Amino acid sequence: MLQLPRHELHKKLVGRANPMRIQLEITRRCNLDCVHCIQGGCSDIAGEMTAADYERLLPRMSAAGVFSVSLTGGEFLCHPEIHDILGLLLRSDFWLALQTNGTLLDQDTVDFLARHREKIRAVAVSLYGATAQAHESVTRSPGSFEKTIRAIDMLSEAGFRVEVISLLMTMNQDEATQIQELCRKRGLFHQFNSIIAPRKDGEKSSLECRLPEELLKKLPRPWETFSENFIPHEPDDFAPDKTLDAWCTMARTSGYIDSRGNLLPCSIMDLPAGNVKERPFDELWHDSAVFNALRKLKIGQFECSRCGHFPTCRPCPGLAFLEHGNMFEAPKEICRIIELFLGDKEVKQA
Amino acid sequence: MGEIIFKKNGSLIERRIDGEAILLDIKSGVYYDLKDVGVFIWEILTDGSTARKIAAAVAENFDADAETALADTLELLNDLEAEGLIVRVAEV
Ligand code: SF4
Repeated sequence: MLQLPRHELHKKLVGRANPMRIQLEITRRCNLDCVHCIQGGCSDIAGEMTAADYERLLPRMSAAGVFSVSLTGGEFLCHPEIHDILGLLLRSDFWLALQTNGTLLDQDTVDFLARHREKIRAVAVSLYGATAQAHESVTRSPGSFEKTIRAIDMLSEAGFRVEVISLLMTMNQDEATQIQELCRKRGLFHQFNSIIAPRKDGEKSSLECRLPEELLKKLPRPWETFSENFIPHEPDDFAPDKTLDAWCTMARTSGYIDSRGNLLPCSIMDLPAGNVKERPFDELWHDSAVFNALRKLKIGQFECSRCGHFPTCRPCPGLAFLEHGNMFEAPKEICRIIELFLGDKEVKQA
Repeated sequence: MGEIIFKKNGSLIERRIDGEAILLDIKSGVYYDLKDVGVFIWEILTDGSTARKIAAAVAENFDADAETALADTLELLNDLEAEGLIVRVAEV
């Protein structure tokens, strides 16, 4: 049989620490001002990667074995050289995914992208409400709702798989059903989320927008996906002496390159392997002491390994790192949410 | 009846990882894996070729007799075509 199921491919590649999927934070600039944004410092663009930097980087990523590239930001369309960068990416042999707020997409850009539609797996668009009032209470940008809806419709018409992602928080939680309906009518893939993380610079005021339990319970299902077993596994893969191969893909098969060129294990774990402007991607990926140390961590080092909900709950170590400054701690926000699904935590007997 | 020239389907992303060819068909999102002789045949298909020519190259490079090489080549070409990984581009 020639077909290789995804989980088998993952197992094959994870053992070799072969990068498969890289997220590119094209820019931290953004034209909106969302309440929950974890970036902070969107105007700080010193050292931003240029089209010339990407021209050097992309062939190294391809040669290292990367298949999929996701573009994110900020809003990636705010990069001043975005058309050159998109041209480079579309001429390269990657399977692309785009994450956007949609407001800067015009018909010309959609037509340009549509000429390469086969190479673009999906376009994820953030939508926070089914009305301008609700959506803009999050984006704090008048007119953004109309532009985002127009982008969703242009993309759908051009034949893209549009994935609508809605973060629900105190100011828009009562829109959940209407957002679902809006997506159902348009035949769009749709996913809710409710995890609000502190900003990368440590600022925590957005945490006040987290939904209390009584509201979380009322949200239409499914509204979270992090407890799904996205990598099929054997129970033994989660024994305390095992590495995180079956749990988390960071620095194993996936990584993140921030807008300045720092290669990170994931979008929220600020532990750079080095900078791709200074050293080739593949050398950083394989030789970095930080990445190699992450690859050696054992499940038993993590507080979650002693919880009765693990590994049904397979929480994000990055979130613990961002919120508690320590990836080994249980991410309390995930505990709070998972307990709504699965009941109180039981501590595993040693 | 002439011979068919087969060529790789254009919607594939392929990577060479530890001697194996890992292919991703971006139309379906399905991954494929070729090893050993499969990788050798896959290389030849880059420029397009016929079953007979491929089998001759296999026999020469893998120390196989002509009959076995042709049978193995036809089997792989059948599988590749059934999965849509190669297409028929001409008949010579
Ligand atoms: S419920 Fe909390 S402690 Fe238990 S596995 Fe999930 S995040 Fe970790």
